[in-house]
Amino acid sequence: MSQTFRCGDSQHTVALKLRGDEFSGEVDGEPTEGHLEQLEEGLYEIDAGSGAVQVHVVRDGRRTWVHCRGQAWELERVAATRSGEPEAASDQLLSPITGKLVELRVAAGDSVAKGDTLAIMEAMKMEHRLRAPRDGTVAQVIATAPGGQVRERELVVKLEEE
Amino acid sequence: MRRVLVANRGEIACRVIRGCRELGLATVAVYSEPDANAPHVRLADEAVALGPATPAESYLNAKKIIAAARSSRADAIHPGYGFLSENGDFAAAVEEAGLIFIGPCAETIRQMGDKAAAKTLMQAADVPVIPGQDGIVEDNFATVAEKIGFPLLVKAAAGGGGKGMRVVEDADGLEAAVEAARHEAEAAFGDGRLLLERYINRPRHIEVQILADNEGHTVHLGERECSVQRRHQKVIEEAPSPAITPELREQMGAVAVAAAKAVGYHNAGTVEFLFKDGEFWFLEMNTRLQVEHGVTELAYGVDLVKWQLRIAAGEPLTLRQEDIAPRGHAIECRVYAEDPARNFLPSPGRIRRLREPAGPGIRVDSGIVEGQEIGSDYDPLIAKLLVHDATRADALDRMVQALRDYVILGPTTNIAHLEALLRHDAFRAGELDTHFIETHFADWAPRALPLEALVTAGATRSGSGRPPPTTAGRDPWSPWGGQSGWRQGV
Repeated sequence: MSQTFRCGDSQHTVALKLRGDEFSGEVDGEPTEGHLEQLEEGLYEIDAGSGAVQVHVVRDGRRTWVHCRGQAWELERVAATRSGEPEAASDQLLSPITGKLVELRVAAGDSVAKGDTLAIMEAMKMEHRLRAPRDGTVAQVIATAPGGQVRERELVVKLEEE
Repeated sequence: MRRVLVANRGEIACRVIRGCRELGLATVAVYSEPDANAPHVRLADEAVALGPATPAESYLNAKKIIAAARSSRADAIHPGYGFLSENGDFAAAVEEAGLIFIGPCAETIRQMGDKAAAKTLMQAADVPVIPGQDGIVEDNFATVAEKIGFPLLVKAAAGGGGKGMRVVEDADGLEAAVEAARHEAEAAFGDGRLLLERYINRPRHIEVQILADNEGHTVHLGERECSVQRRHQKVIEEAPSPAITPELREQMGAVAVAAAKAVGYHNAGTVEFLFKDGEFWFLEMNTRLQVEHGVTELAYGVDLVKWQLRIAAGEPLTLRQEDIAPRGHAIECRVYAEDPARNFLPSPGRIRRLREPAGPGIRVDSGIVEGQEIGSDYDPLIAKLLVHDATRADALDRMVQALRDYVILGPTTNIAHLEALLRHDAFRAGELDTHFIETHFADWAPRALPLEALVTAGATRSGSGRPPPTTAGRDPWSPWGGQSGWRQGV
């Protein structure tokens, strides 16, 4: 079965067959095979042809965190999208952080101009402003009242489609 | 002094509690609601709840903290850094409550907290200060500016952290800069008083550690180089500085000692300087333990926290200046829960997995444990990684390896960015200034996701995260099932 992971701005497709400690399949359309062995919970040793390396991995629902070759990444399993299709329309403004919703300046039906501050979030002593990417009308706003918590990538303001 | 309340959280609270414990002092932690299970709470002998997450209702609330000291029968308070550590009124209130404040006296904290007053004091003590107008500038900005020359810096007297500061390139930009700085300073500190001084472009930030006992015996423990900063926040510190010769060290050290003596300083403190082309100027004095105190501890073989405690208990400082010299090289990297690929946005979340590097010459000052939720209420500094080795080059290599071995899954951290900073040619050559990151790392991006990471992520997808089919059902602890090649007694 093929899975698609989003990591930052990029997407990757992984299709694997596991047989014992051996794996084979395709990653981003390139054939790959090798050896994968669990050393302890959350820790694997893998050799995909360029030497054995250890990988730390934790999975929770759609989210996976991996540490490999000296660096950590967060992946999110997503439904595959056709390549080239924009991932999120500019109609949807998502919170860039997990933190506190300090201020919500618009309500459904309001017209906004490009660059207007629509909401203010705060995390770890820093303030983040969510600004309108274009002129438009607000279709929907987050239900959370100011002072409440928002999660990263949670929808804060939705604009009506153009 | 028998029982110390640590009025802080995170890694510094843990660090101070360890120091107390080594001296046989009992410890009391304080905590806000989200910190109820935090490592500093578990580490202390006793813990007192302060209230909600908001600092004003917990770690910044002097009344609650003094009440906590009373109820827990603590006889001294260590403020750590940040929060109330440089608040003269708090230090005074602690002393009025009949408790020992572990730090200098309230008056010293107040004197050094006011930049205009501190500058005047330092000038009187023959400490070199940045050329500019003496004292607060209230009007005639244009005349004063002409006298100082351009570029110049408009700076809030109550300032800190880069707030209320404006660089002015020429006379045309003066009025707007004064207005902006005053407005920002009033908003941030409730104090719009301004200073004007010469702007030192691309200086190094070099600071000198001092220790002074209650009798006035004062020594310096050399310098720390803290030039690598981002948004006025230090990121990497080292001791000694690659720019400082033994002669300069002696000179700057003597100036720092004179600065401390001029205000009757006691306990640990840091005199910060701007440094350029062999010249240095007083910037400010931090009247507390610094975040980066550990590099001095490693390079000089001293324990600054234990000295703070001993001095506060009235013991004499037994270190003699002629015996103090650096050995080898120490570096610190600050680990922040921030995403360097997204303009350093804070990245709170649960610590899903934590494996700290270990080995010769590696020290981790950490305030986190696996499973802990990193909230968005406090500073994103979650740990400090320090290394010590014989030479700067060795210490750099050791740090790069330690960073690569540091596994933190959950919140995104700046660890990979730190590694890139340390690997840069200019860093290795010791060519540092306060604009280092802006100059060399304007468009840094993380490395591409390795194939092995994707394969492992793909293979561990199934169901409830159970291991791949081959190991399912196998007793993971059985010595017979493993295929690691390990043999007993070979």
